[in-house]
Amino acid sequence: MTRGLPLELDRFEQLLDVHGADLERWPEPLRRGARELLASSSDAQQVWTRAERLAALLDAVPDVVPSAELSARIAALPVRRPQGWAAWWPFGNPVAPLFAWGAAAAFGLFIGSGVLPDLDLASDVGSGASIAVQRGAEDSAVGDAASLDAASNDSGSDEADDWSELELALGWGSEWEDEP
Amino acid sequence: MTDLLMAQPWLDLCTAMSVDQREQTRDERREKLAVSSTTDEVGLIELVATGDVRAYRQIVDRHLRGIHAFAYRMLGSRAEAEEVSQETFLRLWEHAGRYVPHAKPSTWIYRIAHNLSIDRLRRRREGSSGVAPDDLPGSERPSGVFHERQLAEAVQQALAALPERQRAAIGLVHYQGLSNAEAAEVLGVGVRALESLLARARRQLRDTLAEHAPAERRVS
Repeated sequence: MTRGLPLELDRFEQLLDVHGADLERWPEPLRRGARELLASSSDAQQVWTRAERLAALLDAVPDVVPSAELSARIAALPVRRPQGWAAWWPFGNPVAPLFAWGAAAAFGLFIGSGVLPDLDLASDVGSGASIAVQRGAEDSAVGDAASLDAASNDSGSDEADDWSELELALGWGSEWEDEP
Repeated sequence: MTDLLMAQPWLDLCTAMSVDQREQTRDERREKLAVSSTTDEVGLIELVATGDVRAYRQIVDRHLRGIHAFAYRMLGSRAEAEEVSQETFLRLWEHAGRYVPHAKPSTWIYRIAHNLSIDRLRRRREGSSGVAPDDLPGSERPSGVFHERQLAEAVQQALAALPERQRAAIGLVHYQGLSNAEAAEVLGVGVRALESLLARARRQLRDTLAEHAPAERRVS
C-alpha cells in the first residue's frame, strides 16, 4: 500500500474545515495521509472528533421534501409554457389539422377513383367497342357473342358514339337510350 | 470503534441515533450524485431543448428534491423555495438550448437555482419583500422528540446567520453532496475560493453551535 502525503496537525485541522469529517470525500492522497495521522496521533483524533460532531449537528436538520402539488405543477410546466413556435401560435399544434386535411384529400381521391371506370382514351374505335360491351353487360347479365359482334361492326355509326364516356360512366347513357 | 460519551442525554439521543442514519444519508447522497452525473443527462438536456417533455420530466424527477432543499436552505422559506424551484425548472425548459456541455447538467441547474435565490435575498435586503423564514419543517423521524427539533432549529438559525456565499457553499457540498469543484462552478468562483468559503463557514458554525456540542467524545 502506498503511503499518503504526510500531514502536520495544523494542516490536518485546516483540511477538516475544507473537506469535512467524512474522509471518503477527501482527495485520495490527502485521505491516506489523514488516516495515517489519525492512527498515530490522539490530538488528530480530537480535532477529527470535533469536525465529526459538527457534521452530526448539521445532519440534525431534517430534509425538506417538495409537495406532490409542487411536483405536479413543475411537471406540467411544458403544457402551460410551450416552447418555440407553440409559444406564439395560438391555434394549437398545426400538424394535427395538416394530417386531417391530408386524410380528407386521400379519402376523396379514393372515393373518386372508385366511382370512375377504367377509361381507355387511347383509340376512338376501341372505345366504342368497350362502351358497347359495358352497356351490354349492364343490360343483360349473360353476354351474347352476336350482339357483341354487331356492336363492334356498328361502331362509328351508332348513337353511342356521340355519348361521352363520362356520361356513360355516370349512367346518363342508359337513360338517354330509354327515351322514345 | 467509536466510543461516545455524551454529557447531555437529549443530545446523546439525537447524535447517537443519527450515527448510522448519517452514514446512510451520506451513502444515499453519493449514490444520488452518481446517478445524476451519468453522461446521459447531457443527452436529456439536448432533448429538452428540442421540446421533449419526457426528457424534461426525467430531469425534474432527478433534481427537484435537491433543488428544492437547496433553495430552502438558502431562503429559509418553504413558499419561496417552491417558487425558486418552479422558476428554475421553467428556465430549464425554456432555455435548455443555451446549455453548453462544458458544465455538468446538474451544476448548470443548481447555478440557476442559486442565482434565483440570490436575487430573492437581494430583494429582501432592499426591502421589497419582507418574507420571514418559516418554522422548521416537520422531521421525518418519529415525532415527539422535542429536543431533536430544538437542536434542528438551532442549526437552522446558525445556517441562516452565515453569509450567503458561505451558506450556499455548505448547502451544495455538505447537504447536496456536490464536489468542491462542482460547487465552485455553481457559485462562479475558483476551487480555492470555494474551499475558503467552506472553511470559514465550518468555523463559524462550530463556534455558533459550541453550546450544543457534546461535552466529550473519544475516538479509540
